[in-house]
Amino acid sequence: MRLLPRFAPALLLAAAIAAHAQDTSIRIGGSTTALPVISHCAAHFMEKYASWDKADPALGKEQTVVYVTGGGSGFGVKGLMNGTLDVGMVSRDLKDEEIKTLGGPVMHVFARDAVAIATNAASPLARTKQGFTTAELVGIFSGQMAQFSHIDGSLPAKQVVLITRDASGGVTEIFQERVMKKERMAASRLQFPSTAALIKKLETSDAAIAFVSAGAVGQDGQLRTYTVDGVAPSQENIVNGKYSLNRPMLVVARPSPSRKAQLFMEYVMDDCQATVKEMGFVPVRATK
Amino acid sequence: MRDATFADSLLRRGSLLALAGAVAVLALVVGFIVWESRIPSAEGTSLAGFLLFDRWDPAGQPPLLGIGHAWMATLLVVGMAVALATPLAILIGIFLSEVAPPVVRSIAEPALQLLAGIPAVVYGFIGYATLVPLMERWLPTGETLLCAALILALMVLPFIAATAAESFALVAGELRFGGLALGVSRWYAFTRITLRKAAPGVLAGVILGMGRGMGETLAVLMLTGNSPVFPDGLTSRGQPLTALIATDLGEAGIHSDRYYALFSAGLLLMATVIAINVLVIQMKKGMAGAERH
Repeated sequence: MRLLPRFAPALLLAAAIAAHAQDTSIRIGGSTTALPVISHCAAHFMEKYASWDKADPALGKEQTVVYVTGGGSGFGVKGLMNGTLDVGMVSRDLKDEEIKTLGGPVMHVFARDAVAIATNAASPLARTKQGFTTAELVGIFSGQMAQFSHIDGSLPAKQVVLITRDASGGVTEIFQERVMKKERMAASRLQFPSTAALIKKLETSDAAIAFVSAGAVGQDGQLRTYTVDGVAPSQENIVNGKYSLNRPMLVVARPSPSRKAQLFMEYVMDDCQATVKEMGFVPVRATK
Repeated sequence: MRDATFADSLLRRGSLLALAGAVAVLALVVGFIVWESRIPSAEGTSLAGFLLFDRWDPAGQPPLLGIGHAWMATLLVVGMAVALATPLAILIGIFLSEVAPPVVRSIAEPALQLLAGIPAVVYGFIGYATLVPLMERWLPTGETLLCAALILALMVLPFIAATAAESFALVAGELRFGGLALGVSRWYAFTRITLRKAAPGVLAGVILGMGRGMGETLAVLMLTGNSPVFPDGLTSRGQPLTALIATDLGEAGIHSDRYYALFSAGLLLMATVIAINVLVIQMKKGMAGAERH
């Protein structure tokens, strides 16, 4: 006990350093679909404003640091709740209870994305199918149509491999809600921790089928996407709402966010819109 | 003089404090897991359903929270891994204690320890890059319980082999040499004397390897496919308990049914691993007792 007073200054110092680090940087995390876009934006942001006072003269002269990490849309919300994150990336609408828990968060839709049905370009399905009906998708992803021959009689009786994001992916919730509805997803599905890991698997397996971010698949020549009920997941169809499996991509912050978090969110809504378009997603504002 | 006693007492108290701190943290962790574990309270959930029969589908309507599939996967993967690793480990143990010249031994033993120190994610990645594509020549996906078991076997091998080698070396020379002096073959001396005396030690190594395998998370998550399905064979996909907890805890709202279910899964896993360790300690005591005779 006598030792405590001697340690106290050291503890205070450590706390001060921690608080300092927290103040000069902002931490962003969440959706692995949004991750590549927001990381690019963060890099551009740090390039444009080397220190915080360049972005806003009222801020200090410390170096601008923006940390960006994945974790999934679920983590984007959870990290805000427990204070791990300053800005969360979420690739789905926030649930009412999430909005309630966060106490009226600041939310900006910075892009739109479609949930596309995708396979390898060498998949047997690519030979005969251009698209699927919602009923077919329910059959495939519930495991009732377990073989390619069940989907199309002319195809071989080979097992269809279902690959999905794990529960933390925004796509998983959207697909369950809008396509599967009351049906349960097949337990035999492979679950991947990030959109990038899922796409890697799709590139190497011609037996696989997945629902995945259209923006992330768009630039990949080894993969192809399909129409759903006759509508292609194209940019126009996402904008005019014809493609029903579309979703918002959001940056979210707690109520009355720090000036730094605010500045970055404004940047995402403005300069960063060009990056959104470049990376295959649909920007919400006209780009310069 | 005063300084010396002060330093002494500081060291004594300091080490005691460190020990008390470590024990307290352990107690807190165990206590917290026990405190947060309970059977999900949702309608229609029974203990048997939770532990054995129900599916794991927290996003479905109604949500289902059963961890039977994860238990099956853990038991199959660890069982297979240990079954594959043990014969090989015993052979390595024989080689190190009976056959190897000192030079080889002085290289092989540290190498074995190094093998035990390679991070799990590296094993997982190697398996993912080599074994998974290889198995996909014959199977719909390379991610299978078998694939995870093969890599896990490699991971537990050093633990079992090191313990086996140590146990063989511990068998008193007088027994072995006495046997050899009576004119029996080396094979006879090994199987009838050394192996018999060292058996509890080898078994302790096997059980230690099982405990290690049960706690393994990342490699098995990558290699089993992380599919919440009841395994129906060795080439089935699956989701061991550790992978289930790692995958779903992030999505489980604090104090939701899903959260309690995952903590219960953690408690079961912890209880199993502790039971395994107690078994090892008992066996070691038994061995030490037998040595004195």
